[in-house]
Amino acid sequence: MLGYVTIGALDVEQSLPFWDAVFAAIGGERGFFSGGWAGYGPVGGPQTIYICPPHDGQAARGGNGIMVALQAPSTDAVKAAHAAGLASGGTDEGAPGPRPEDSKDFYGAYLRDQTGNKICVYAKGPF
Amino acid sequence: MSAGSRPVVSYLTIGADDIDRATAFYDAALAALGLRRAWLNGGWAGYGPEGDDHGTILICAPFNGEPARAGNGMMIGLHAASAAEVDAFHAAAVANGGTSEGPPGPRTDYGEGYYLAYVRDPTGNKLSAFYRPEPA
Repeated sequence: MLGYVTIGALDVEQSLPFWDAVFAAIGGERGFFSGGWAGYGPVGGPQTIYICPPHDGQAARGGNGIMVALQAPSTDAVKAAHAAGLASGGTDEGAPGPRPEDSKDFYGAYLRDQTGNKICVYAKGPF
Repeated sequence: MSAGSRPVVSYLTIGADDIDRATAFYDAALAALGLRRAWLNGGWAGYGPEGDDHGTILICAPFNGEPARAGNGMMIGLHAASAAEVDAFHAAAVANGGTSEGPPGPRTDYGEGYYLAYVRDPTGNKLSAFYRPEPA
């Protein structure tokens, strides 16, 4: 049902270190950067997440309430993605941990990219 | 790594301040793509295909308590099974509180046979429905 997502960037090239770091931590990679667009997905593809300038030519802007969730293979990968994202220009929206606090099957961390787009990286249990 | 943990978008939240207005829109627009509302609880609604009881698209008030706001540049692309589904998605969206951001039609720049339509939900979040023929 979900085919792809575009995520607007104020400066796509400047945002690449953030997205490269987050995806690398969870088993993904940048498949291309061409014509001002960057495409991410699992190692080897296909790419389904595109970082790009907005279609309308206006400045990119993060939304509020809209969030893209990416599944990681383990809780360690969630921690690594959060740390790597923060070290690469992202901002913290929630430290790695179970949600809710006593959850045995959802472990997530929350970040915003440099533009302000919110993402979640999570692992599914049982733990 | 199992197929279930590939780093692709596995779910989404979409902010809405008025859940009734949002569900009117999403019930209609997503039904055109074969998706149904699995639940509505505590101001959240979850949508997915039959058998997805958790929901893959979750409509909710923003976590930080601030008003919901669409991003610019962020767009959710949803699979359609046919061009007719794309047409139905666009019509249902516009008839239920959405606005058109691009009428249904071929988008051959993206590939042969591609057929897309673009809408915004009542909050302004942008969505597309796309049909892509299976490779021969």
